[in-house]
Order: sequence, then structure tokens, then C-alpha cells
Amino acid sequence: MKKTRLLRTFVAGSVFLFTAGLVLQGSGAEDQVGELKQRLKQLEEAHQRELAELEAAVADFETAHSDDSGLMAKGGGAASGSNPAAAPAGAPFQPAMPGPGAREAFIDISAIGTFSIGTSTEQDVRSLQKADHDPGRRGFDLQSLELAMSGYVDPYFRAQTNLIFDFDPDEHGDRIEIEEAFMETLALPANLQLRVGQFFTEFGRHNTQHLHFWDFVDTPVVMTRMFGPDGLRNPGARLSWLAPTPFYSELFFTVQDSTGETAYSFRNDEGFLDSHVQFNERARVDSDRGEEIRKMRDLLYTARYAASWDLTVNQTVLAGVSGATGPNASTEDTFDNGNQIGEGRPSGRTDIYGTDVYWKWTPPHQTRGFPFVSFQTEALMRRFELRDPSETFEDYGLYAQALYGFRPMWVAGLRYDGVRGDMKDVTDRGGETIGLANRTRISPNMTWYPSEFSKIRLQYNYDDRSGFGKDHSVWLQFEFSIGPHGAHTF
Amino acid sequence: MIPDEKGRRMACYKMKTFFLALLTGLCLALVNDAEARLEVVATTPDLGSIAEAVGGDRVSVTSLARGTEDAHFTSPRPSFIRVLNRADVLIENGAELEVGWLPPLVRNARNRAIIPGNPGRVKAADGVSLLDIPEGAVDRTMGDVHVSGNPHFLLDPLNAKIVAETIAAAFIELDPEGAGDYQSALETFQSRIDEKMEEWKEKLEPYEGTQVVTYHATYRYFAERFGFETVAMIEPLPGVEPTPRHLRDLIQRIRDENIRMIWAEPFRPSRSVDRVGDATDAVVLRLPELVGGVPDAEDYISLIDYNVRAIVDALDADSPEA
Repeated sequence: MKKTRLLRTFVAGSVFLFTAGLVLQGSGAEDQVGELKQRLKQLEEAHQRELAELEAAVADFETAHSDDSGLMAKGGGAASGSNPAAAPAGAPFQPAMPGPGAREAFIDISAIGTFSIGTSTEQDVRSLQKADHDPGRRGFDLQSLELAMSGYVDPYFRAQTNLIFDFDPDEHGDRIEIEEAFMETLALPANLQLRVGQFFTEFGRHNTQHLHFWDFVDTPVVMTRMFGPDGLRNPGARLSWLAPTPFYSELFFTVQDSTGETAYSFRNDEGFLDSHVQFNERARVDSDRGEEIRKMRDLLYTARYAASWDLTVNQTVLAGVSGATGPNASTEDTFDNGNQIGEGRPSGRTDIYGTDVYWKWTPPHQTRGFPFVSFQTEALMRRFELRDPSETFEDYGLYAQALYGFRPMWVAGLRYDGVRGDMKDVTDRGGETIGLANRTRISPNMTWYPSEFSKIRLQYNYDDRSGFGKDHSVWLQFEFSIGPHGAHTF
Repeated sequence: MIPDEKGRRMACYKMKTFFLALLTGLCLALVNDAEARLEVVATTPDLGSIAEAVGGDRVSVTSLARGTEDAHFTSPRPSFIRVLNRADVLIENGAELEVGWLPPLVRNARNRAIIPGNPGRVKAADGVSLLDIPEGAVDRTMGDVHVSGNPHFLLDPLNAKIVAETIAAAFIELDPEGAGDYQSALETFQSRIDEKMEEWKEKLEPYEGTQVVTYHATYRYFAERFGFETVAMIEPLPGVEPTPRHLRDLIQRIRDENIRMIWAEPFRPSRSVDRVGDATDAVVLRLPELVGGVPDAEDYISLIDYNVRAIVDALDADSPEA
């Protein structure tokens, strides 16, 4: 007994000494204890002082507002920015200046409207432009009207909501979508950040970007094929960790609901299975019984690791890998005279993997962010498991785009899209094997920004779909944003 | 007691003790770290230069924007998040200079020390009387107006003195042990500016009242301090690229009013600057706004030195007597 206590004391003591030694290396041995005590006292005083300041800061929060009150996250664009009417941080109390427009100290509001005019050789334009916010009609189209609101909730959180107003004469008519609505912590310990609410899943690069941040008028084909017309987003929580690496690197872990059309490749009993002939007549999860959450495996899990390096003082690269896994809408149920027999529970799973790279060059003499050259690519692979493992199919695709900001406010772009289907053992009830169409698309475009708050973009799409032939489309896009000055993320 | 269980308990206890000791060690390491140099991040290299002058060996300074570029539009590199995450102090220019790129970086840095309202967040514009604060209602038909005023105040050396004071106050608050060092460094910097100020004023005095055209409202404070008159801009409105018509009108005005100089930052496109320069008798001067904007502008004082010299040389060469 004595021996073990001795050992314990020894272990504890040596660890303590080792670390203390590290800490105190270089300082005299005699008054270490006194010095330590003094340090602790100083720390305590500093802490008290900080506490008092923090309290004062909280008290002043309403008046002493900050430059980055209420900013948008990924979207960039115009929806974020300072509140110019608010008093500067740290300044003595000042009455709020009456600002023009709706400049409230507590919330930043902006509206972003995106419209298109264009045509395509394909009469059913939606069969080419599958994302909800792509130009989807010959002639005029409202791509989206976004109302973005954001602000600090309190000293602990900030929040953001993006409401989308859309008009689709073919389908729903007028409708409102809650694209994102979430709160996020400001400074958790251990370099963590927690986001809770409804948000775009942190998968790759394009999926988290709002329409006004896109470099082309439409969504890359592979993104709509894997994530559907709305992108991958659902209610859930995201924990991210800024890793203590010498370069920037961040780990994201997201858990979300796996149901509905915004979880397109997952438990989505309508969109995905409907859109592909070979699943059309298959049994699928019952929307009443099958969509309930019974176990952890019923949720959608996404992980992402992103890292960035400054290659030179003019070049930066950001690269990431992502993976998502969750149940899909296929079941083990069978049909009997047209009646579905079984539990209506999902049995198959979907895994989606992705990798992305973004590279940007801006010369030392950059004005307004011009000139610049950027390159961005994302490759995705999907494994979709039907009830029978032999019916698991895989498809993949990528897009690659290059942008050249050749003079202030002018950008020329070129994008390549390619998706490949998989016909492996997937048959419809008639026994016929039908796969997803392979598709290639090439899109040159040109954008002019009359100012940071408006944009005019012309784009041509050359489309080649296996089994459908070649198509040509031309789109002219207009966009405005009103509200506080925006801030961009990399 | 079963020997097995005893052993397990023992192991558990040892483990606990080990982690407790490790934690204590880490805490001590943190205390020690607090005594190490203040990690200072400045959004622009001028702020960085002033912070270095005031902080001396007690601080280690990183500047985000490159001195050669347009600091309104610095690319928000992810590496900045890393730097901000470790910062004890963030010095920003304020007056919306960095509004387009800084806020999301700070949000993602998840560092309470630099969140607005904390002593580690220093806004250089605080305490400076800003020019060009718009009166009455403002909207974007007026271009990208800054409601808080013109953010290019650091080109007036007297404002640099105020900013140095603001920075020193923040350093002293965060590192009280160094109060004496900061105070004396501040005084040295300020008296150096006072000395140089005499020299700069003397050099520029003969040209007082000279009219200049500038590309952007960058030189407002500089002109105000040294008696130049900024009469027009190549930008028709702040933040709006010149149209051919505006340039035509401007060229006419420069000819009519015999305006002698055009000032533009080195990064402004030569297309429009040279067009105006070639079409008129005005001398085009590329004057850096930021430290590092030209190789000679190594710190704040050499930046002003460079600009003063460039103006004097140009006007000397231009004057008929020369």
C-alpha cells in the first residue's frame, strides 16, 4: 500500500516537475514558488478585470455596436456587413443615428433578387436545369428572391436566416422556402464552434454557397444529381474544430435529419426515386411509418476536413475531403397485387464522397480584387444501396471551372461538367436495365459587375446527354442586392 | 477485496493523478505563455508598423493585407483565420475599410479576445476626427459611401500619433507589466513624428494650395494636413469605376483649370490613370497608401517620406523656374 502511494506521488511529482521545469526554464530556482504565487495573483487580477470589462461590454452591447454585427456566413454577397449607422465599438455612448433605409442596430436585412432571360433548344428546360434556382424557363424567369437577415443574438450567439421567395408557374406557383435558419456560437473553448438549426450541409464547396455567390448562372450537374434541386440541407447540428496545425485546417462534423427532398439521395421518398426510371416502381419507405427516427442510423452524418496553404504571397489553395452517409428510401418490402407488404422502413444506405480544390491568384497590385485567376473543382461519388446488395450502384461526376477577372469588375469563366451513371444490375420491373444518363456540359460565361451590388452575366451551355442528344442554351442573368455592405469568405 | 479489482482501481487512480498533473502543467504553461510576447494582428501594414514602433520587443506583429494592394478588397485567406485564432490583439483600421473581408474571418477565428467589445479588439479610427462624414440621408446612388467617414486617415501623420496612442493604451491594458516600455516607445514614436512633421511641412510649404486630382478619396487627410486641394477624382463616385464620359469631362477640367498633379495608388489600373495623364499636362504620381506599397516605404515614417519626396521632386521638375 505504502509502495503504491509512493509510486503515485512520484509519478505525479515528476510530471509536475517536468512541466513546471519547462515553464520555468531560464528563471532562478530560489523564488519559483513566490513567482508562481505572484503569477497566479496576476492572473486572478487580470481575470477579475476581464470579467468587469466583459460585464461593461455586455451592458454597452446595444449602443456600442461593432463593425461586424450580424454578418452572413458563407453567402458573402451583399447580405452581410457592418452597420454603418451604429456607434463604433468601444466608443462612448452615442445616440443611434437615424440611418437611411432599415438600418437597425440589431439586425442586418438585405434582399437579393436574381432573374434570367434565355432560351434553350430543349423545350423541357427543367430537364436540363434541374436545380430550383437555375434558370428554368424559356423567356423570363425569377431564379430567386432572397431575404437575408442576420445579427448577434447575445454575447454568445449569432444567427442568420435566408428566406427564398420563388415563383414557378409550372409547379407550385408562389412559394417560400426556409433555405437557412441557424444560430452559431461565437467563442466556444477548445477552438470549437457549434451551429444548430437548418443549414446547408458542410459538404464540399458549392453546396454551402447561396445563389448570389455562384460563379455561373446554374448549379454544376453533379451537385444536382447527388444533392437534388435544393442542395443538401436539413435541420441538424454542426460542430467544427479549428485544428491547431501551423496552417489553416478545420474539421466539420454534421448530424442532420435524413428525410425529405432536401436530403435528395437519402430518405427522400419522392424526388430521387421518382426521377430515375429504374426505381420508379420499386417499393420505398412509407412516408408515415418509414420516416420516423428509431435509431442513430436513421440520421444523416457528414464529415469534412478542409485545409489551406498560402503557396506564395499571391497564391492560396483550399482543399477538402467530405463524406456523407445516411439511410435512403429503398425498403425490403415487396409488392403483392400492387399492395406494398412490409414495415415500410428503409433498408438501403447511401454514401457520398467528395473532394474539392480551390486555388486563387491575385497579383500584388490588386485593385477591387482584380485582376485574379481562380480554379475550382469538385469530384463526387455516390454509392446507392438498394434492398439487394447486388443492386448497389455507383455513379460519379465532377465539375471544374476557371475564372479570370481580367479587368476591374469583369470576369470571364469556363466550366466543364461531367457525370457518369452506372447501369450495374439495376433493372426495372420489366427486367430492362436502364442507367442514369451520362452527361457532359461546357459553359463559357462573362460577368460584369456595375458595382459590388449588382451583376449582369451572360452564359452559354453546350449540353450532351447520352440518349437525348445535344442541346444549346443561352442565359442572361441580372442580380441586385440591397442592404449593408457584404463580406466575402475565401 | 479482490486483487484484480484493486489493481484496476489503482490504475484508474494513477491515470487520474497523471491527467491532473498534466492539466496543472498545462495551466502553468498558459500562465507562462501570457508572459510571452503579445501576439498582435494588424489588418494593414501601416497599423502593423505603428504597432511595432509602440510594442517593440514585447509584441510580435503580423499584418494581413499586403502593402501593395487595395485594402478594401484584401482576399480573405483561410490562413488569416489561423493567425487571428492565436491573436491577443487585433488592430483594425475601422471606418468600414475592412468591411468586405474581415468580419467573417473574425467570426471563424473563435477567439474571444478579439471579438468587438473586448480590450483585444482595437479600432484605429476611434479617437480620430474623420473627414467626409456624409450629411443627411445616404444611399448607394452616391457610390460606396462610408457612413462613418473617410477611412484613409493614416496618411495624416498627426492621426498616426493618435492611433499610436490608442494602440499603446490597448497594449498597456493587456500587458500592464510593460506599461513603462510602451509609454516610452509611444513617446519616442510621437516625438519622431513631430520632428519629421517640421521637415515634411517645410518641404511642402512652397506648394501650398496646389490643386490635385486623385483616383480615390485616399489622400484627403494628407492633402488637408499639407495644404493641397483635392478638386476631383478619377472615380466618378467612391468605389465606382470611371466611365469614358467621366474621364472626358475630367480631362477637360484638368486642362481648363490647369491642375498640375494626379495622385493614384500604385495598384490603380494604368488604363484610366495614364489616359488622363497623357491627355493633359498634369503629372501622374503613384503614391502608396500603405507601408510596403513601394519597396522604399518600409515603415510608417519612410512611407510619408517617400510620398513627400515624390511630390516635391515632381513639382520641382514641373515648375518653370527649374
